[in-house]
Amino acid sequence: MLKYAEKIKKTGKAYWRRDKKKLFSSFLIKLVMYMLLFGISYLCLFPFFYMIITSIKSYTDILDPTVNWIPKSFKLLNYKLAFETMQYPKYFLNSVIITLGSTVGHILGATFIGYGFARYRFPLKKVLFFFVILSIIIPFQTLLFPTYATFTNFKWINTYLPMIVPAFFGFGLKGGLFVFLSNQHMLGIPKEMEEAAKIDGCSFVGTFFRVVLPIAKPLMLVIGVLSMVWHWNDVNEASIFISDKARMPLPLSLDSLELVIEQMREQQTSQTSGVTYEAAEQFFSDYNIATLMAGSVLLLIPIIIVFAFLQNKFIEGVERSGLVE
Amino acid sequence: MKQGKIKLNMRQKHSLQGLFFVTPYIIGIALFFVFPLVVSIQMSFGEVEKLSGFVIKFVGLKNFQELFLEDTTFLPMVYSTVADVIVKIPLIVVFSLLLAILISRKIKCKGFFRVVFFLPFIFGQGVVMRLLVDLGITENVFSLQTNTVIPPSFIAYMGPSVANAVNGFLNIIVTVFWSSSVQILILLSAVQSISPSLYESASVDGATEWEKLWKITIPMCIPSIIVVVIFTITDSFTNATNPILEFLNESGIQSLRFGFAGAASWVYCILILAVVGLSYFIFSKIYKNYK
Repeated sequence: MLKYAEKIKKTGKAYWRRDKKKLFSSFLIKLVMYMLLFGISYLCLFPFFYMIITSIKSYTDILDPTVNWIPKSFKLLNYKLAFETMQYPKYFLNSVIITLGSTVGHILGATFIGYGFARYRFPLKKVLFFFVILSIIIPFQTLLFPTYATFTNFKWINTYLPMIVPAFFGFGLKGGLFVFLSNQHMLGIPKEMEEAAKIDGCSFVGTFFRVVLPIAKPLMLVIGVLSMVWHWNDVNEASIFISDKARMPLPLSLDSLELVIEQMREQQTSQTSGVTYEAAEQFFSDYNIATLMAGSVLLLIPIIIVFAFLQNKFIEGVERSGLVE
Repeated sequence: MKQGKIKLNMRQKHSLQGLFFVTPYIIGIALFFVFPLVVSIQMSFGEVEKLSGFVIKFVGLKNFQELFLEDTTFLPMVYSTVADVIVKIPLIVVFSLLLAILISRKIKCKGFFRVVFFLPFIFGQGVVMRLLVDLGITENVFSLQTNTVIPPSFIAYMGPSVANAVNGFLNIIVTVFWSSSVQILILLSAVQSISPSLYESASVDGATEWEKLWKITIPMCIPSIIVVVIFTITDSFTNATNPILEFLNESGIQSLRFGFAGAASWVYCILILAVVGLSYFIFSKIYKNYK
C-alpha cells in the first residue's frame, strides 16, 4: 500500500499505463452494457410513446407520411370522442368490479392452497399438484364450451361470478399459475417461525393467518399485481361469459369501437351499402386510429397509475421474496 | 380419552391439516375443472347433437380425421406456431437471463430499468396488444420507413432480401422483448438471491468473470430458469394474438363445430404438454448434472 502512495506522489497520476488498458476495456464494456440497456428501454417505452403521440394526431396527420413523431396539429378531441364512445364511466366500474374481485380471490385462494401444498404431506398430493400444472398448461379454449355449459347450469352467465368465484378456489384466469408461484415461495420461507408459533400453542389455522400471511406479503403483492394486469386487460373470458352489453368491462368496449371503425371501412368500399365515400371519410376524420389509441391510453391509464403506486413494493417484493426454490 | 373418539396419530393429523388447506382447490376441481375436462374429451371424440342436453354421439376418430386429413389450414398453422414458439423460447429465456444479470450489477438507474422492463407486460395482454400488432407496430419500431435506427438507403442498397431479413430479425427481437417482462423479474430475483460470499470465495480461488457466470450464477438459477421456461411456453402458446387460438375460437363458437374444435384444441394441448414435458426433462437432467 505504501509503495502505491509513494508512486502516486512521485508521478502525480493515480493510474498507470498497465491499468489504463484495463480501465479502457472496462469502460468499453460498461459502454456496451449501457447502450444495450438503454436500447432495450427504448423498445419497451416505444409503444407508449407511439400510443400517446398517435392519439393526439388529427386525421390529416395520420394520412400524412411525413409526419411521424411530431404531429402538425393537436387534436385532443380524440380523447373526448373515445371517452364518450367507450362509455367510459359505466364500463370502468364493471372493469373495477371484475378486476378487484378476482384479484382478491386469487390472493386469498392461492396463498391458502399454496400453503397446503408447501408445508404438508397428504395422500393424493402429487395428483392434485399435477392438476395444478395441468390447469396452467391447458389452453382456455379447450375447456371453453363445457365451462360455459357449467356456468349456464349454475345460472352464472351474464354476471361477474364466472370470473370472480373460481379465483378463490385456485382457478380462473391463470389461477393455477398463482397456486404454483405461491407453493414455490412458501417452500422457501424458513419453518422456524411456524414452529415457534406452534410451540406457543397456536392452532394450525391460526399459524397460517397470523404468522405465514404477514411474512408472505411480498408474494401477495406479486400475485395481486399480476392478477390485476391480466384481468384488467382480459377480453377472452369476459366476452364469453357476458352477453349483456351493459355489463361489459372496458377492453370490450374498446374492441367494439374497433369493430365499428372496421365495419365503416367495409361499408365505405362496398357498393351495396348506403354509405357514400364522403360520408365515410367524414366519419373517419373523427373516428380513426387516433381515437383507438386514445381509447387505449384511457384503458391503460388506471392500471399504470396503480402500478406506479405499487411498483416499488412490487419489485422489491419479487426480489426479496425470492420466487426461487 | 372418551370411548368412541377417533384417535389420530401425528402423521394423520398432519395429513388432515394439509387436506384442510387444499380443500378449496379440491372443491374448485370438482366444480370447475372435472366436468369441462371430461366433456371436452368426449366432445373431441364425438359430435354434439343437441346443444342443451349435451347429447354427444360417439363417432370415434372422425373429428381427428377431419382435422388432419381434410382441413387444410390447421396443420400448417400448427407448424408455423410451433416453429415460431420454439425459436422464441430460448431467445426469451436467454435474453431475460442476460438482462437480469446486467441489471443486478452495480449500475446506475437500476430502479428505472426495473420499471421500464416491466412496462411491456402492462400493455402486452389483450386488446391493446392486438391493436398495436394489427397496426404493424412491430415493424415500425425499427422501421425502415421511419428512419429511426437504420437509414433506409443503406438497406435499399443491399437489396430486398437483406431488407426482409433485417426486418424479420428486428421483428423477432421486438416481440421477444415484449414478452419477457415477467421472466426478467423472476430471474432478477433469482440472480439477486445468490449470496455475494459465493462470488467472493470464487474470486479468492482465482475465477474469472466468465467462469463465475457459468459456474455460480447459472447453476444457482436453474430452478427459476425451469419456472421461466414453463411460463414462457404456456404464455406463448396461449397468447391472445396467437392464430391458432383465433382458429379455435372461430370454429368453436362461431361455426359451432364443437367436436371439431374440441379435437383441435386437444391436439394443441397435447402438443404443449409435449413441449413442456420435453423441456422439463432436459432441464432436470441438467440440474442433476450440476448437483
